[in-house]
Amino acid sequence: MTNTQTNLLVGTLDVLILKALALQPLHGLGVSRRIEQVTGGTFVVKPGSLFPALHRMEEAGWLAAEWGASENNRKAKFYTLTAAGRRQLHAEVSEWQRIAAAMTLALQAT
Amino acid sequence: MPILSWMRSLVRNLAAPRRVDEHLDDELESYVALVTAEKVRSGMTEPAARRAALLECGGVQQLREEVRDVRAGARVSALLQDVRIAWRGLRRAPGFTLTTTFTLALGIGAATVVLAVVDRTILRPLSYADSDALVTVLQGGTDPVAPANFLDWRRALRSFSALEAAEYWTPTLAEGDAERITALHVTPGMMAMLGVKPMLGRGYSSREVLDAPREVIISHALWQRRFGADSQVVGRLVTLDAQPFTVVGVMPPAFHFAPFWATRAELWAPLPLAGASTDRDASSLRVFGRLAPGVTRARAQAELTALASTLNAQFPGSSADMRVTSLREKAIGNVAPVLYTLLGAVAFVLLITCVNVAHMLLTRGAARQKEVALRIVLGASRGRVVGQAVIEATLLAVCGAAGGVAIAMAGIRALVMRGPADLPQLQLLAFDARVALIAVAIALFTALVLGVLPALLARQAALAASLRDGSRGTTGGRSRLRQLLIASEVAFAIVLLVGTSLMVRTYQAMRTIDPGFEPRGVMTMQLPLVKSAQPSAEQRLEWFRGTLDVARGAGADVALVNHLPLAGDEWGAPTFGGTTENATKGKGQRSIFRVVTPGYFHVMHTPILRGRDVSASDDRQHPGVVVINARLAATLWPAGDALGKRLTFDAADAPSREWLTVVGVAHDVKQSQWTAPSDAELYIPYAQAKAYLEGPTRGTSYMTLVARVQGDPARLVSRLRRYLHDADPMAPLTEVQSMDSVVAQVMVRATFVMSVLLALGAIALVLAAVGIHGIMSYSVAQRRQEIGIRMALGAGAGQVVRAVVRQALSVAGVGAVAGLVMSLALSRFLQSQLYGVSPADIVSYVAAAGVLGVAVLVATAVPARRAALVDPMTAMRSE
Repeated sequence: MTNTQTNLLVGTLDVLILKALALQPLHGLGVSRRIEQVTGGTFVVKPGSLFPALHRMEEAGWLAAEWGASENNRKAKFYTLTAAGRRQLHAEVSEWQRIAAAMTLALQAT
Repeated sequence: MPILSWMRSLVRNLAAPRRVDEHLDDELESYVALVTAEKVRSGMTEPAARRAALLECGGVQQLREEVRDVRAGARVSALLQDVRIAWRGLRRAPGFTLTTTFTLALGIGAATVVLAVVDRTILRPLSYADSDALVTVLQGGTDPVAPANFLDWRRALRSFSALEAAEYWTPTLAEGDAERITALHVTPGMMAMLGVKPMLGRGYSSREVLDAPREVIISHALWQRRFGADSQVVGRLVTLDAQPFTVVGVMPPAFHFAPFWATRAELWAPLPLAGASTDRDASSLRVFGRLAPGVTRARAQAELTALASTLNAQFPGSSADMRVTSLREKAIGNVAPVLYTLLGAVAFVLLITCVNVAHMLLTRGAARQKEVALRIVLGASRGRVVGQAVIEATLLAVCGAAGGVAIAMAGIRALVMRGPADLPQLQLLAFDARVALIAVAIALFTALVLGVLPALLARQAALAASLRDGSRGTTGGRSRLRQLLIASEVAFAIVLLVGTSLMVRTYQAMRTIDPGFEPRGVMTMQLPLVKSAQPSAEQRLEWFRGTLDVARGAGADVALVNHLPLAGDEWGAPTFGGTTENATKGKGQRSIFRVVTPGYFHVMHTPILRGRDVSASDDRQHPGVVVINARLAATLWPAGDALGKRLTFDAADAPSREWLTVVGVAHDVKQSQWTAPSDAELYIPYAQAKAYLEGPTRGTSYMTLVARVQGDPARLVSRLRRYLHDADPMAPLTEVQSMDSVVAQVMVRATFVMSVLLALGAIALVLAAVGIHGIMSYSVAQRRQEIGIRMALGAGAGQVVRAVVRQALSVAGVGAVAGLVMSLALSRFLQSQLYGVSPADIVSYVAAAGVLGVAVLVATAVPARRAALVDPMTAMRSE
């Protein structure tokens, strides 16, 4: 963990999780590590935020879960993106890009 | 969120919470294992890696809670969990739960019964369509109307969408055992106007007012009683007064008509009006109407008054003082104050119930302060702690409601069986869905009231201070609250007890009223005029003379009268004294019209004040005589002696005036109302009563036999039955009852109100005593230490008992004063119910205060004794 680590912005966790799961099914730790990896260690998701979010998204029907074996043959719960989750990811990505563009514009303005 | 998947989750989470939790545990465990494995790979030892992993998770238990909170139905399952916790808590304190439940059950049960009665009799008294538009049109608001007038109104009045009439009828139904039943002749449009369709059959074949097809509609009760609930009864022929009638309908069970006067009618046949269409004298019709849409009663009255004055000009005296009264008022008008009295009494019982249970919850709340504070410190949200208290109160209310429903069912059954017949619709009272709804509403209301209090307490308890404060929760404020509870309990109970004693005193006063006759030992029964005796006056006289001889043969002192006093039916006749020669029609003194045979006064023990009884020689060969009562004598001849004076029923403009000489003045007799002053009355000898000797037999075809019997009256009754049966099998002996029971019927309402109030008063007394006992016990328990110190310092047991009792009595005294003041203010509303006792009757107030004082003493005795048994050493060490 480095000190460049940043607190998650409100609303970013969902889109990060969806994005992390877009490539392949992952278990909880996998999601956490993937987010850490793709953000270059900027965002670290603690279990206290991760699991409530995963369960909330499962209840919402964006994720599906099933039990499987982890890389070192341990029992673990794997999450998969559902069709609804994929739609949600698209919606959130475009929303995020709009905000990011607007923010960049606003901050570069002289 | 896609609703389907949410629903699926909800069902899964609620249906199998344990499995979901286990899955979560597995998932977290596997997470910790994976992190541990990572750390072991980076060089940590296994135990250290696991510790670090767990630390990173930040507490598995809290994590689990957080996940649970986001789940669908989290709130529902939290609620269910609270209910389970509350239920367990209640089961752990069975004494508390049972007392509270019992208290609530009593209060809720009593309130439900009384509200059910009010609902039945005041809120939905009439089982007719749109009954608010129904009215009666009667002379002076009470007396019947002549047929020709009714027909004129029907033709001319536009304010009514329908006007129909009914006439009393008591036909003999010859189906197996002949039975005389209460029935009505109604104009054929009556049922349609009331808006009630027969349950079976189609009703009368005609709705024309002058048509009188020989058809009958029967009540549900008669159908079950006499026709074995035969579904094929429609179309059957029945014999009424020896005439064949076709059954054309059976009314539904809830149908009652008329709602006043002829409340026991079981059969309705078309009124034969054709022959009487020009009759303006024989007033026998009760007129019912339905106001046309948008027409007010005042407008209908104005139109009627205008028409009546036109008719009066044409036919003098025929249409005076015709009044439109709402049918609802006519039916329930005079029971309303009774019901409001009961409603008020129930409100007080509920108040006492709530105070009681409030104290129990208060005590429990105090005992649980530490537990509550602990829960708050451990992170239970304040809302949930308050919610917990409300849930507990609700659970108690539910249990109380269940008990209350059981009590209400029993109470309603008792009321239907023992309630007075003149409370309309009381017979229809049943524990139906509506009454159940009333019970639930009362229970919810109680739960709400009760829920607020512990909620407030929980807020107080939230002060974590009580965690540190290692002691009980009695502060000065709390004990003042207790005193307030005791005082209000006493005050409410006093109000109820004062009301009860006022009614008891009323009842006693009514029992001492002298009705002008001695009911004890008098049997009464109706004797029909058998068919063979009907043709001539001589035969009628001979028939009754023979019947009286048979009765005398059975050892009875007997006489005949047309209508018994107090039996509900009475006829009035306008009377003119001999001095007011210019008497005009409609201005006469109304007098109750009695027809008697010689000896009637003797049998009834009604004193003849002056002059003589009618005698055997007062017949048609001799001049007409009359016996009048003291009231009529004083009205017609205020100055002098009435004996020897003359009076007549004919107005000055009548073609001929028939004069009767007053031969006797009798003591006043209660005629219709027990508590009202006696009406003017007069007695005509049967042998001179033209209407009875010559008239058509409608209404005059029977006389009532009064018999003073020594010993068992059964012999007299069976002998008369046999005699009648031999003379005419279709002419049964009916209405066999003792004069005592006739009087009891008149007293029935006062008896009813008194017994219900007595029951409510007893409930209030028990509740108040239980409540005060509870409060005092608690207060003594709280003061154990103090009492122990006092005893250690030399106070004797007697002193301790006195101190406790004094404390209770002083608080109760404050409550009693408040209660007496409240009673004084409220008892004014009882005025119309009272007789022979003032609303400020000192005896009632003293009695109420005395009874309650004793109850408080008894309720305090046990805790006081317990206080005296405190062992100083134990008490002081116990903290």
